[in-house]
Amino acid sequence: MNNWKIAYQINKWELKKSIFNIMLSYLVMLVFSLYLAREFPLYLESGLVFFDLVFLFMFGAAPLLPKPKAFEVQQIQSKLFVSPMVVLQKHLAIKNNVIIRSRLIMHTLYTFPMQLVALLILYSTTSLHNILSIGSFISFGLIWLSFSIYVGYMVPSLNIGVRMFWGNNTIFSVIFLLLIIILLFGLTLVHVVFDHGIVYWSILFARDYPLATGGISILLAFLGYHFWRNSMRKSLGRLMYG
Amino acid sequence: MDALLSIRDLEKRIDEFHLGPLDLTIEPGTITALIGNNGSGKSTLLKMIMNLVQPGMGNIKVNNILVHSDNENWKPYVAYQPQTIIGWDPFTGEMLKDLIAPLYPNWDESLFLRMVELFEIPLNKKFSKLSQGVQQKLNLTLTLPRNAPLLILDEPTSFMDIPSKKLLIDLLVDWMEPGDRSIIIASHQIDDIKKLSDYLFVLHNGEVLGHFEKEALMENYARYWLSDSVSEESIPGVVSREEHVLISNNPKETESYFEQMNTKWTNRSSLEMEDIITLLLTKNKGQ
Repeated sequence: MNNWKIAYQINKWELKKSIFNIMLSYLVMLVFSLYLAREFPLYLESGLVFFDLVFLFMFGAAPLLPKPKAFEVQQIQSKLFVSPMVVLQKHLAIKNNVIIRSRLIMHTLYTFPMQLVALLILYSTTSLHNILSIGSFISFGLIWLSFSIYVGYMVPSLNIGVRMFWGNNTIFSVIFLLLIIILLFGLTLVHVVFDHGIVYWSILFARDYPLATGGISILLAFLGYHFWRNSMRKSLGRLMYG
Repeated sequence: MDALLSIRDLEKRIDEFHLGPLDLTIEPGTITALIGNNGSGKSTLLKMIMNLVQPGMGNIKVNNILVHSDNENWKPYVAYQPQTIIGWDPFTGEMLKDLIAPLYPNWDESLFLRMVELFEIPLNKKFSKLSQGVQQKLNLTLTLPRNAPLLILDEPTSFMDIPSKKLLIDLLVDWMEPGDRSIIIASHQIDDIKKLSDYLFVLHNGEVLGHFEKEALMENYARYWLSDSVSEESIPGVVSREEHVLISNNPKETESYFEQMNTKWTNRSSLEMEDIITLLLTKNKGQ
C-alpha cells in the first residue's frame, strides 16, 4: 500500500470526528469570501488593509480555526507543543513519512476546497473577471494556492510538534497576537509605500505576466512543500514524544 | 537465533538526569523485567527503544535494524504500551482497533476478541469515558494481539484490579508459548516480576546495577540467623546485618567464612524477590 493510502486510512476516524469543525471552518471561510466579494470594488479603489489581512488569513492560516480539542496542538510536556494524534501515531508502526502525509491530508481537507470556492466567488461575483482572463485568473489562483503551501504548511508543521523555549500557553497566545500586530503593520506599510495592497499587486502580476507568475508560483509551491516536509521529518526525528 | 533487541553504549542526558552507559541484549523467548526506583530512567529507556527520544550516545538495534536511522522497517517488530496514553480520548475501542490492527501484519483477531471478553471491555464507549483500569485493559487488548516479536509494556498493571492482573499474567504466559517472542516489562508490581520475568535489568538513578537471571539471583541471596553476635569486621558476601541476622549475596563465600571462624547459624532461608530488589536499590541510595 502506498504511503498516501495508509495516511488516509489512519486519518479515517479523525476525519469523521472532525466533520463538524471542518464544516464550521468552511462556513467561516464562506463568510470571509462573501466579505471579500463585497469589499472588492472599494479595495481596488482606495485599498483596505483589512481586506489583505482576511485574504492572507484564508490562504495562509485558515486551519488555525478551532479543531476538536482532542486534535488541537497542545502542550503535552513541559516545552513540547504537538497534536495528540501525532503522539498516538508515533507509538504505532507508522513510518514518519506517513505521519507527515496524514497531517497534510487533514490540512488540505480543512483548507483547499474553500480556498478554491473563495477564488471562484471572487472571480464570478466581482469585476475581477473583467480584469483577468481565464488564463490570468488561473495564474492568480496559483499565486494564492501556492502561498497556502509555502506559508500555510507551517500549520501541519506545528501539528508535528514544536519545542518552545517556554512552557506556557499564555505566552504562546501573546506571541501569536504580536505576530498579527507585526503583520498588520507590514500590510499597512505596503499600502503606504506602494499605494495598494498585496492582493492588488498579485492581480496585476497575474494579468501582466501570467506565465511567469504561474511558473514562479508552482516553483515556490514545490520548494515550500519540500521545505516543510523536511522540516517535519527533522522534527519527528528530533523531538521527544515521550 | 539473533537478538531481538541489542543496545550498545547507550547514554542520554536530560537536564540534570543522566542515563547509562547501558548495554542490553534481549533474546527471543525471554521476559525481562525493567526495575528501578522512580526516576531511574526505565520509561526513558523504553522511549529510546521506540525512537520517541533520541539517545545522546550509543545505538539500539531491533531485529538487527538501527532504530535511530532512516530505516523504519523495525517498527512492525515492536508493540509498545506506553505508561501514559495520549491521543486516544476521542475514539472508541472499535475505532482504535480499526486504526491499529491493519498496521500489524500478524494481528490476532481471535486473541483480541478473547481479551475483550475476558476483561469485559465496552468497545463502543469513548476512551475518555472509561475508568483508568479499563483504559489500561483496552490498551493491553490493543497491544498484545499485534503479535510483534518484541512486546514493550510500561507499567501495564498499575491501575488493574487483582483478578485482571492474574488474567493478564496468564495471557502473557500463553502469548510467549511460540518461543520466538520477547517481552520487556517495566513494573513496580512485584507479582508481575515474580511470576513473569526470566531476567531482571536493574536501574538506579540512571545507572545500571545489573542484568540478572531471576533464578540465579534468587539463589545468590540467603539470610542467616546466628547463634552469637559476630564481630564488626566485614564478612564476605554480607550486604546487610542487623544484630544476629545477616543477608549475603554470596552464600558460598559467607558460609566458608563462618566455617573458618567457627561461627554457627541457627537458621538459613532464601529471600523474597521483594527483599532482594529492595536491597539492590537501597544499597545504592547513597551513591
